[in-house]
Amino acid sequence: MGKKKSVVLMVILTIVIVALCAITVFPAFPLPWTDGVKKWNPAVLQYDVGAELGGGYYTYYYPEGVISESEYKNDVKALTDSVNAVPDTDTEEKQKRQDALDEYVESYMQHKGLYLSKNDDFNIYTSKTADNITDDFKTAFKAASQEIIARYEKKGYADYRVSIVDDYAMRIELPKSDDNANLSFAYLSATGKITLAKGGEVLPEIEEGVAVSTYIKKVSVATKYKQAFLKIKFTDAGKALINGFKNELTESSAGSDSATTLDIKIGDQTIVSIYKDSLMEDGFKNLEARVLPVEEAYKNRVETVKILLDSSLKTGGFDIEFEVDEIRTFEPIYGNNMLDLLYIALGLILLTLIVLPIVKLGRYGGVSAYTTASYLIVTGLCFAFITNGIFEITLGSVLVFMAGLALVNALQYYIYCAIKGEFDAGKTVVSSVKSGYKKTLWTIVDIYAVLLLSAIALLVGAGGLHTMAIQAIICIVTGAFCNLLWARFINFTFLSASKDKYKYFRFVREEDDDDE
Amino acid sequence: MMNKLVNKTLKKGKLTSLIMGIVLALSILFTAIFGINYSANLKSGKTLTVSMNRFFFDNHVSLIEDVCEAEFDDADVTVKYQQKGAIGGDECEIMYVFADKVSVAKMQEVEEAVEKKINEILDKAENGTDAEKTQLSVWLGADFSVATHEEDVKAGIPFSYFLRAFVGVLIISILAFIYVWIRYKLHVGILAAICAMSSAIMTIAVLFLFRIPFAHSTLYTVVLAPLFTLVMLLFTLSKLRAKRKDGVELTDEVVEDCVATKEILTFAVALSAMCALVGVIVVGGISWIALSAIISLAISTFIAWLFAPAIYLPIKKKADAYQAERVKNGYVGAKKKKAKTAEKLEELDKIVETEEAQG
Repeated sequence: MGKKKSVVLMVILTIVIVALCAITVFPAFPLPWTDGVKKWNPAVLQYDVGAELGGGYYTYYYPEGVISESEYKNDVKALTDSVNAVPDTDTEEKQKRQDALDEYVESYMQHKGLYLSKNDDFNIYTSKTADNITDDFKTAFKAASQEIIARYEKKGYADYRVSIVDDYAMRIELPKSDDNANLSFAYLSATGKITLAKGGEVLPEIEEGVAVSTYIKKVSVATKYKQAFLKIKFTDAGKALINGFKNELTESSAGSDSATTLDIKIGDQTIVSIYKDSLMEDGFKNLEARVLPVEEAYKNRVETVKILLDSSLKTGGFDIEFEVDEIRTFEPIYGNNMLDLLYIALGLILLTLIVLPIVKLGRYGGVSAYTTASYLIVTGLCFAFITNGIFEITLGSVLVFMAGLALVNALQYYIYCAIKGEFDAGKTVVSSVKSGYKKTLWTIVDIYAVLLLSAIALLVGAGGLHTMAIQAIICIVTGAFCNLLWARFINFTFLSASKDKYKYFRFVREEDDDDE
Repeated sequence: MMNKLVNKTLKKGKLTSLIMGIVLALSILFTAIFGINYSANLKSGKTLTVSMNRFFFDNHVSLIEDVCEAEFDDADVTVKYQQKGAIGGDECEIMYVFADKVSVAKMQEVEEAVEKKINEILDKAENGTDAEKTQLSVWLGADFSVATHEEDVKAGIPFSYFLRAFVGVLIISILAFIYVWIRYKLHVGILAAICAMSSAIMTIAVLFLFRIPFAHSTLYTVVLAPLFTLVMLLFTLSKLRAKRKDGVELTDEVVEDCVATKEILTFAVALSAMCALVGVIVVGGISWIALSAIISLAISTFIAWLFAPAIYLPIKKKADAYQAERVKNGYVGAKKKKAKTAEKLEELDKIVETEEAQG
């Protein structure tokens, strides 16, 4: 390549790399205009981060008839204040309010940090056991809580937490990357009996005790024409049942006030409503319903419903239902500024990897610097814009990014040493470069091939491990591209533009030394 | 100096295997007795929750934190970590988490102490001197409530996550074995698979043995260990391959020369330095994860740099003996078969040429 062409190419490369680096990592700042986009945000701010880095959402599940100590104390305080608000002269009103307070206090039993209702409707309190709690309640809570734990496990979060609080409540923590956390909290708490209803009335067969799983074979999530939806496959018995009243069901285009739908309910909550036109036969004459269509980007919501229905069909439901408390956000447990400190640490690492090769390896080090910047750009942008449902940045992501960065630079150094070895054996610079690259090619190919196979193997992992495997594939493919193609191209361009090829690599021939 | 270390360990494959076995056994024993040392947020514990309204939480939360911390110091209880929870409406809370071993009575004592202190402040804010009323006016209307709870963490890292991670590592070992067997030789493939599997097992053994707090991210450092090992091992294997191609007999000295010390340590030191920098700058719980990553890297380096060369020759010896046995029983081998076929074709060509000449 001619010198002039090389110089022009070098300049263009530099401008492009600097611009892309800015798009990837330049800190956010407000823009001077008022219309349109008001703030510059780099790609790294688009990341969904896991709970360890970005905090998340949490809530409590309280069984019906169970309240927290805070709620109890607040209620008692409110009732006490209402008693005290009545002047002493109005003894009747004061006594009435005092009775209400006493009745409230009497209606609850303290159990650790919870208050359990003594109302018979809830079947919690009994005088027959040592701890005054019915065995039915204990059994139902244990079974229902285990099922809820299994549901959250199926969601495949990178990090989440489910705990039992004071024996009879639950606390769930989810990462902030879950945009539908409120949906997850609401749906996955549903533990009532699963039933089928038509036009608001439970089907007689279900009333008689036939399990819903007799009629529903499988629930799955499907995608078509950029939409995701729930596919409910019915058994032959289900098909026969539905065909008996299919014509009574309303089309989805009809008004909702008068709609007659086939509903799948859990407790009193309608989870799915099936209209007449939602029902169709597949190629094998099996009846299926396609419901809850959403844009493919929101597929996660439909998957949550699938997990709920699968769980309820398996267990049939429990004799206990939960109320979901207010959903709160929590900060990362390692501190709110952890993400900023992490970016600072990574920034220092990148700066070191740009400066150190230049200092140690001369102009060839500049190739490494450009390669580092290119690796940052490609992985940074891919992490931001390649999504697969929940695609969180976790500490695992940081680790694979750093490992890829270390490998790219280590291999660049390896190539340099090979070129130097060839030069020391007496070859010319150009010939050394060719031999050096040839000598190292298959080692580098082997390394990246094995890493790629390993990353693919890790796709079997659950939750954050699966996500990390995808991120590792991105880092490995980027690293391979950088080491095998991009760095070579940059080196070729820079070398062509270089006046002194010896100085470029900081090579000194022994006879040159002797001459001096 | 580094090569001296390689030289010392080269003929000690059995000893290094024994040491690794002992470490593994101790780790299993410790874990069976003491269980896994999960990180603070994945452990069961006692909690103290202080609820307040949104306005106070957003503007004066440090005041309540000071009160709580003073009471905790007086009661001599240590906070493992705290978590602030905010909602869009009202009733925000700070949850302080203590170790599970803190007794219920102690927690009750702390709860009462904090409640008493808050009530004292509220009383001063309402009925104190003018100066006190002015200074403490921000406390009024905050609707505080203090409660203690016991939390039993049921799902932090489910068992299925561990199981699938193990399956992943197993598949890595198998794929590495197949690839390296195709590119190099069968015994080298076996070496790669053993090293990959060993690095993951030894990493988790060391983490459990030294009770490093185990978080979600720690699992990532375990499954990345085989990848680190394979990267470093391949530098050495490619040198060995080059020697073999040159027809050099692979003795201990040749194997020692082929160990890619510089390349292995460049990669290991570079990545360790990065992890150390992150751990030092970010601190807090992330330091433990950085330490886990450094441990994973150290073990991978040990396996690729010292353990692999030590067991390479014994594995090669066994593979050569097996090959010799096969040849003895008449197996010619694919390359030798090809050479023999080529020889026969040459002979046939000569016969045809001779016949043509005669004809």
